[in-house]
Amino acid sequence: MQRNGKMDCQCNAMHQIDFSQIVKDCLKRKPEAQRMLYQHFAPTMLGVCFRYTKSMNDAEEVLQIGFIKVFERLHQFKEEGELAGWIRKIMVNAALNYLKTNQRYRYDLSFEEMPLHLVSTENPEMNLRAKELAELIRQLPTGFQTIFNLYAVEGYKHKEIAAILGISEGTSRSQYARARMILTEWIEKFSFKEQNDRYGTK
Amino acid sequence: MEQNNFEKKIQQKLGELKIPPSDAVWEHIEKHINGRKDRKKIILLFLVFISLASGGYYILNSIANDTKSKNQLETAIVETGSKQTKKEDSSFNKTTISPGNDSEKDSASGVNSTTHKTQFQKIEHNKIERRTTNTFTTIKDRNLAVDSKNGNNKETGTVDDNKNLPANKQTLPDGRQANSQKNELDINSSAKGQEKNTSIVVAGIENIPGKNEASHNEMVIQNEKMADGISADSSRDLSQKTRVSSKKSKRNQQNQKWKIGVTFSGGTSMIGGGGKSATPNLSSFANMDFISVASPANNYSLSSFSNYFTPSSMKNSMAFIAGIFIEKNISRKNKLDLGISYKYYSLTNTTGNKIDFNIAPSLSTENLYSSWSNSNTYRNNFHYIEIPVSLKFQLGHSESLPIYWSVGMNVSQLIASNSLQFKSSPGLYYNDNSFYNKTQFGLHTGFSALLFAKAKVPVDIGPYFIYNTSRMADDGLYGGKHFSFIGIKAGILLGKK
Repeated sequence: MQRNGKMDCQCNAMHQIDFSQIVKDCLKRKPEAQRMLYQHFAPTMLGVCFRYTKSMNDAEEVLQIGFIKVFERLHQFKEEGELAGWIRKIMVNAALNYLKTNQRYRYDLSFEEMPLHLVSTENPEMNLRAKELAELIRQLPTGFQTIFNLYAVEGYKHKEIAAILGISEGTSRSQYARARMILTEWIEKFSFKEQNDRYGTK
Repeated sequence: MEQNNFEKKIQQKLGELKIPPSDAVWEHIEKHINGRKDRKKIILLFLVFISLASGGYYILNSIANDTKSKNQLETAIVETGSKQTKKEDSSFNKTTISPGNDSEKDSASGVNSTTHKTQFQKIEHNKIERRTTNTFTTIKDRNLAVDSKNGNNKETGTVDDNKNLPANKQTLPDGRQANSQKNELDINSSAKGQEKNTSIVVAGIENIPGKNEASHNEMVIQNEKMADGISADSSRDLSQKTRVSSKKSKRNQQNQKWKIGVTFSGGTSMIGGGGKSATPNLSSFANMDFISVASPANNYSLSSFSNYFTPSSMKNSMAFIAGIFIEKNISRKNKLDLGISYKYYSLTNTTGNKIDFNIAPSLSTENLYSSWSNSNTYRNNFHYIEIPVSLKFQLGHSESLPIYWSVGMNVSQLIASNSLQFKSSPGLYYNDNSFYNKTQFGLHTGFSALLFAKAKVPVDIGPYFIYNTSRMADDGLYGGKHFSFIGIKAGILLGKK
């Protein structure tokens, strides 16, 4: 499937765009404005969706669902907040709904009560790119992946996560601790491997 | 602190993550947004159509009702006037009905001695029985009343058949003369030594040569149920013959005409038959490596798919038929309908995302969908032009609410479709109309009630069922399957007189 390579350039050119005007035009159902809004936010939002799913195909489906909701609910957006944050929130909700409703994820998204792990204080070097880090997060079991994304990346509190996912706060904490521990190991290994590879090629 | 640093690093790193999506995503979003607009337009157009149709129907009916009520009002006024005249003129107290050319004889015999009012009512009743219109009665009454009021010796109510009766019937100036084309009904009334003669020409009644006088007499006698020595049986026979022949002539006229109407049926299209199961095998999904194979980021080809998939199940969906028809009475209670209609059938199934055309050049279509997920609901549309032929049989004898059973056959031609076929490996849906049997034969049946049967624009409504006897396709996803339709059919007959 071909990627739209020109999209990044277009996005860069749109940095100075007046988003309030775009939102107004979108509300008037102007196709150009809708496309502009999509082109500006789609790459970032696909990154968000990518972290929550296991395949690019699913990530694109979530992106699609999310953007349809964005256009449907754009009238609810108050310009007091940041548009990107509002869209991101919709994407995260779309992703969580997708995980809950999709048969393949629903079974993986089981949150068993685990013995409480102490949260690792390790702070490994991150000699890896954003997409590589995202790929590592995606390799986590779906439950760990979701809680890690919500806590470490989106910044939700365990109480909020518990409410969103319908689990106990303790489960959220223990799952996060476990996820963090696994990911730290992987990051260290990956960073070490990357370093060796780089030195090797030199 | 270090823990927070880890999360910050993660956030910072992932904040840089930007992945440009494929063009298909925006196409889907755009399609969805525009689809909503289109749906709104369709709903709006449908509402406008319904409003116009309802408005038109209301106007047509109200005009018809106005005419009726006007006629009834006129009749009532004339009757009231007539009563007043009668009160003023005592000559109406003793009125006789005679064969017309021999009033004195009848008066003397006292056979038809009754009040004028009674005669009016009975004549009116007689006319209604013969299914003449209100206009007929009104004109007759008005003429009678006006002439009575003016004190004319002779009053003649002439039936103008321009509306209701055959045009070749004419009124002769002298109603008492033997008329070979008409039956006459004379009302002679005498008052204060003056003779009042009322002659009403009943057109449209078959002539009985040489028996005008007798038949006239008998009709009157029978209608008034008077036994004046004439055989009751023979009078009944004649009266019946007259009535039947009158009805026949009217019906013959009606039967010769084709009436035009519009029809609309709304319901559900269904698919059945065929030995192939349309139920998906979910286990096949489990075998699929979504990350390595389904990811569009990979440049996969058809050969990279080794799993066989089954299509998602087809769900019945909405359907409608709209068209025009012509209708003809083939007998007293049976009708023949012919028509031409546009028929829309649809079925839905779930598919994955739309796939770029380039990945499967062997499937020469732009409608290419994956079956690896069930995220989209796809509507398979089928557009047909249909020619239905039906016979309608009236059940029962109700005239106010006739019930019909219709049965017939139809031929339809597939004119367009966006429906998807399925390729089990690599699990792709694609559009290919070459599979279909374009010409379809079907049978249909239904029941209907004719609402507002006596209104100008009656509405025929009831359940309707169609079964296509032809197979949709010999092979493919619809191989060996048959379409059927169940819904409500409504027909509006236009230009009923």
